[in-house]
Amino acid sequence: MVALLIALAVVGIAFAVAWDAEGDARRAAGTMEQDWLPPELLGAKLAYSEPRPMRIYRPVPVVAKVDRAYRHPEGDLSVVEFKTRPRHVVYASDVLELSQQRLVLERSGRGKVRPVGFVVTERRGTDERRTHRVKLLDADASIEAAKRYKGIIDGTVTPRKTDNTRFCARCAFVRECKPELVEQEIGERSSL
Amino acid sequence: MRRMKDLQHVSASQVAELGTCEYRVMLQARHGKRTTVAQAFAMDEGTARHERFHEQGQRARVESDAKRWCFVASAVYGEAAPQTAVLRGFRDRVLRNSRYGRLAIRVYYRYSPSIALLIQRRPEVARLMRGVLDIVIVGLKRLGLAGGEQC
Repeated sequence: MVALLIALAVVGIAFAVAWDAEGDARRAAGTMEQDWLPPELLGAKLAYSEPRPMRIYRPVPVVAKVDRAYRHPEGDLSVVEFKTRPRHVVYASDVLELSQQRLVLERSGRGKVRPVGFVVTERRGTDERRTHRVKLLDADASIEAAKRYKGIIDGTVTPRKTDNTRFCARCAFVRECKPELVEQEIGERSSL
Repeated sequence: MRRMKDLQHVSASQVAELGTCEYRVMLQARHGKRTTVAQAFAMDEGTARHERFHEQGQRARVESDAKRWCFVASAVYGEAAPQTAVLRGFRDRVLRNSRYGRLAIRVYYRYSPSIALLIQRRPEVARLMRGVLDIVIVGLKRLGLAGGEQC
């Protein structure tokens, strides 16, 4: 009986240590799962969490690392992409990335992926997370995007320049692409 | 004939760059990847935060597994071990039948993933827990509180 009590005391201490360690981990993490998980995923089970890259060979060779994929009780999947941003915004690139993940998951036989995915943005400096719903591209459009990328790399497709001058101002290739922007910035600085 | 593995894969994140600027994709292919200091800093920070998100995912997965299994006992003895079955039985036939027992189960579900992770990482903790649980199992059997075969 004494041995049993001692054993129970040790189990109690183990739980206390675990409680303390978990508290530290969560405090260090700053954010809890339930803070950002959208209602659509509450009944779903986490199926993939950035495991090894997944590959498909047909109809176009694509490799994808899935940040998270949740399996719903019905058997289909939802994809989640995590992004660290200065603001809570979603870009077209997020939709393209999630759509490629959808293509890879479906064509590799892991299951059907719902047409709405999620982008979780974490704001720099604050650790605050926000979830955004995005409509994903269908398989044909995703395949077309992958082929277009290959075409640009091979030189068979003419690439388009972005109209977003704020992006250009931060781009490392601005001198090669839009030298007039660099000249303009130098002019503005010298006039100050 | 070209082997399947020789095909050059396009990554999802590469295709995503089309949404930012196609011309930059072409320039990167021609001159190599180039980043500004601010971009390099942001990428480093993003990688660290990504790892944290991944770690939280692993934890969430362990937590969801713990709800179905006696996770600590499974980590110590193995999922199909008779000792695990005794503890599962104690949980389901004794603890579930009382208010405080159900509270204890809730506490167990909440914190057992942390213990299970510790057991997976540290073999000496696994040995200690095994010794403790052996005593608990013997005590439960003597008191007639040991459960049956299944969870």
